[in-house]
Amino acid sequence: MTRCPRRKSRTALVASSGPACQSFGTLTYPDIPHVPACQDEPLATTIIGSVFTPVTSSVSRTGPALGWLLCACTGPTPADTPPVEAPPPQVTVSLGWVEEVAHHPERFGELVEADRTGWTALHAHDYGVARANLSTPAHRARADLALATLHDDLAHLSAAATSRLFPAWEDRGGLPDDSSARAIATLAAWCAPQAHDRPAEAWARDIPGDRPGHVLTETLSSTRPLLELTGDGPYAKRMALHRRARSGDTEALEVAAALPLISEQAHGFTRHFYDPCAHASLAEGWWHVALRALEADADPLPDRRALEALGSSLPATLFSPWLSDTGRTEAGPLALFGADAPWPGSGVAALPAGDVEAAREAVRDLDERLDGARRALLADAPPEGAGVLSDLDLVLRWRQEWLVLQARKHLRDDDPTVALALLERAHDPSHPEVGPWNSPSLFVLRAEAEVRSGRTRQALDALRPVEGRLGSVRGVIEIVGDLAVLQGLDRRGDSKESQ
Amino acid sequence: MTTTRFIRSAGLAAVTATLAFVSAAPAMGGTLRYAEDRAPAIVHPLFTTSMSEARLNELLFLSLFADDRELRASPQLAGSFQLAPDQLSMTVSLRPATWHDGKPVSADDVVFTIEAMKDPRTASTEAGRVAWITGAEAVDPSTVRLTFANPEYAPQDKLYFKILPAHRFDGTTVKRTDAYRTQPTGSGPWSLTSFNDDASITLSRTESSPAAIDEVVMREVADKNYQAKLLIYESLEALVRVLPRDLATLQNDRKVELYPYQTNSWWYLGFNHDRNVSGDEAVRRAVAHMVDVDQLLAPIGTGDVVTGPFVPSSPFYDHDVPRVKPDPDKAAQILTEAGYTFSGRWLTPTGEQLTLKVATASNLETAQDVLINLQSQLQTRGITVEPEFLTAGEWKQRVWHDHDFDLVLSQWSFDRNEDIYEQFHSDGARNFIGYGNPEVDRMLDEARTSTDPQAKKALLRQVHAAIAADQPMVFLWTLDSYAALSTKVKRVVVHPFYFFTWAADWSL
Repeated sequence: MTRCPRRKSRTALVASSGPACQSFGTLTYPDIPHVPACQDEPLATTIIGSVFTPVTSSVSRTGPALGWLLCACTGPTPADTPPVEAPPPQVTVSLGWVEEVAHHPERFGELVEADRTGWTALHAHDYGVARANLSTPAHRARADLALATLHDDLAHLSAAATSRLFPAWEDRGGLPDDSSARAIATLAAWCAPQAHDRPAEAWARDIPGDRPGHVLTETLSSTRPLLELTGDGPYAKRMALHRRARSGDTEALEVAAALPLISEQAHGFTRHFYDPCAHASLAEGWWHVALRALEADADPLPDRRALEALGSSLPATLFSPWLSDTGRTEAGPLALFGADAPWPGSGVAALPAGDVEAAREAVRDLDERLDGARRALLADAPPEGAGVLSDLDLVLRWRQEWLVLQARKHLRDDDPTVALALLERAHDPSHPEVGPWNSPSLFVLRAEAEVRSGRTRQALDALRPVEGRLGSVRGVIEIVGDLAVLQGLDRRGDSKESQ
Repeated sequence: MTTTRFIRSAGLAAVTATLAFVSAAPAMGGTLRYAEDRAPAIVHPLFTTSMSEARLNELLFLSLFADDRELRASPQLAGSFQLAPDQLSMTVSLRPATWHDGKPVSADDVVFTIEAMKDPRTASTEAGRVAWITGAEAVDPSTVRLTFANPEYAPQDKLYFKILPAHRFDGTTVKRTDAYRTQPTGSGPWSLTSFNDDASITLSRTESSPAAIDEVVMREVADKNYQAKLLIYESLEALVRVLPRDLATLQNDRKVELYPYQTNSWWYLGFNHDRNVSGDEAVRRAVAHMVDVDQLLAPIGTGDVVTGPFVPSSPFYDHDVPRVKPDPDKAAQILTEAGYTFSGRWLTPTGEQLTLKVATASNLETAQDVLINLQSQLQTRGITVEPEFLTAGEWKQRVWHDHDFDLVLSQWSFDRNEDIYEQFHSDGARNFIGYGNPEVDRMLDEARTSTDPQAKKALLRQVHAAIAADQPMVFLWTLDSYAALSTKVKRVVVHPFYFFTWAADWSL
């Protein structure tokens, strides 16, 4: 029996469980060295098998994969060997909670056994189910924070789309006067002023006096925040939902975000406008929910306070991008999540802006280092710990969380091209839906990077998996869709047969 | 060391550390070998019908304008342009450029290309891309003036068609069978060197090319599984489309990277509306109820079943349109009511056995598998299916030119504009199934001229619903689509539709 050649990530972990190689066929293609195939054994059963819904490798879930078929059984000869690079350098990478789980599986078992459904859901990025099933407020705050972060990502996406949509629409044919377009542009600029070149007041000034949205003009001209708008009109009613959401009662706004804020008859069709501010308020609301769970003070920075209150124990770090303490006293919300920590093993603290090739190289380098760390962990950990590590592929999970966090940092630093490169590498394409291997934030950030790179239509592809998990994203999808359509108005599309 | 101090010291080292990942200047030279499922039948931008041809065109030819990295129209052969105040004409100055045979690219070439595309005797499959241009005139050797039927806000956004050398043709009536199809002269970064015995095509970097890679070789590899192996074993550097079932394998190879590519693509089973049986609405509706789409899709991998001519992520997709579910009883009822009779097999009202010839591409493993499964499904329900596996040349002749088929099993890919006019408008150049619905025509016409994104979105959602109701096709599925490239290929940015638009920047 011969072990398979070097594989990476999940495959490597599965290989470590001992794939038995036996020939059951010969592959004869002129360009490929002649190799017999092999088959894999079932993965080792570990304590996780009794705790979580069984999670096996992508390879085993997607059927016999080429990696196994190419496994040499009787020992490779030089002529039969695929090109092999020099072995990666021995590196030391500290993997925080990943190591803790591997070395102390009893702590992990004790933690998740208490709230099996909740932790399973958190692992699957199913935050709603997680918070409903995590019994401890501090543990539930992990899901609250994840929701806050996700809605914040959606708020940035919404801002990126609306800041492009309304000015371009104005330039292209003018915003339709008999519509609420200017009022919606006003709202969009009000809730994300940093993203919009034209302030809310400027949009509001152009709202015709006989339109319902004129109440926005009156409010803004009195220098009152729109949140204080009251009355029976659609905008006042919506602001009431925003106020409730921002205080932590998010349910009504989450439902409303999936529905048009304004629907009005146009020439032969019904025009729909969605709330561009919904996710900004939802993000703030979920921060407050987390703070309440942690019994923390909201001032002055709710996100910082929440993370400080969270601590750095295993419940506070498991499945997260921060490996342990993240230096949460540093300024800036992203630093709170560990975004300023250096790339593990390399000491790199920042990638060069706009250099996609450098970003890809950094990820390849990270993968080499993580391979080494994983091997070391598997060698040192007790069997139960190694089993959890393999079955849940925790190194890969942390890798994804880390890359998503770094991508978020690059987006906030106005570097969407590197963010996109990192997100492409973070994405597990063999699992198209949101789940353990792809977080909803990964898709949302990717959509933002696409919009900001001019690839608006591709952003819609990125958002599609999120809708099944978070219904409130429908409004953002419609906003991004309007932008995609607008950007294609003057084009004569091309199409071809795919064969 | 406290965490804070650690981060600070890491920050001090950041400049040095960052430099470790600054990408180096591109290396020159090398050969990029990429796989297509099927080699192009011809290399001729006037008659391009398939993505493999379009991708090859991207390496060989230039347009007046092309997408920049942010997908904005950027001058390519054009140097500058001026739009008339009434937006009914524009003047384009050409930048200096040469054809692969050394002759200069001139305004006459632009005029020739447009007139050849518009010439009805040429019957260019790309004619729709210049239908909006009413005139083209060479002002001087490097300046061309274009006039339009209607005011154009951003005409450069439509000037993406490839420019051809007038001196290679005798007139604007161009034949698909001309020698040019195998000996093309372009102005792109690479020129065609040879069609090889193994169905591969070799391109070489031209002297004046900005490209870093010396040679590009397109290899025909019909077997997708084999394509993946070739990439892993470094016998290829690129696969343009990876099946979902192969994604896990390729992503687990450290020397391969995946790139999202061409997601606006869907499979369909199209009925020839000009034939008695396949054009019979009852047959179309019955077949739709006999086909189990999920079962056809399963061997290919995961994908989204579509209900109409857009993919589910499209802003034009009408999510309220229900799927046509497999329902043999309903199918039988439809056929019976239309005068068909069942006697072990379905018979037409004139007493002949209900037989459908279904054409698909030969040498294309996935399509053949689907067709064989389809044959099994329909035959079980009493319809005889005769599969026809057509070569690329046969496909162009029989499907596109002669409309000689009952049904076709194929795939459409769309760029980000998702313009289905050519497929479903009764005047569409790609409407070889012969579908026509005046209301759909009206909405497609209106959608093309709309300046209101919400109006266009609403119109095309209605088009989706109307076409789904007509069932000119059995709409099948869209697949998550990725390209795979060796990590040896650097500076890769893949165009979401044409793939190679920025390949001159790639290096090995």
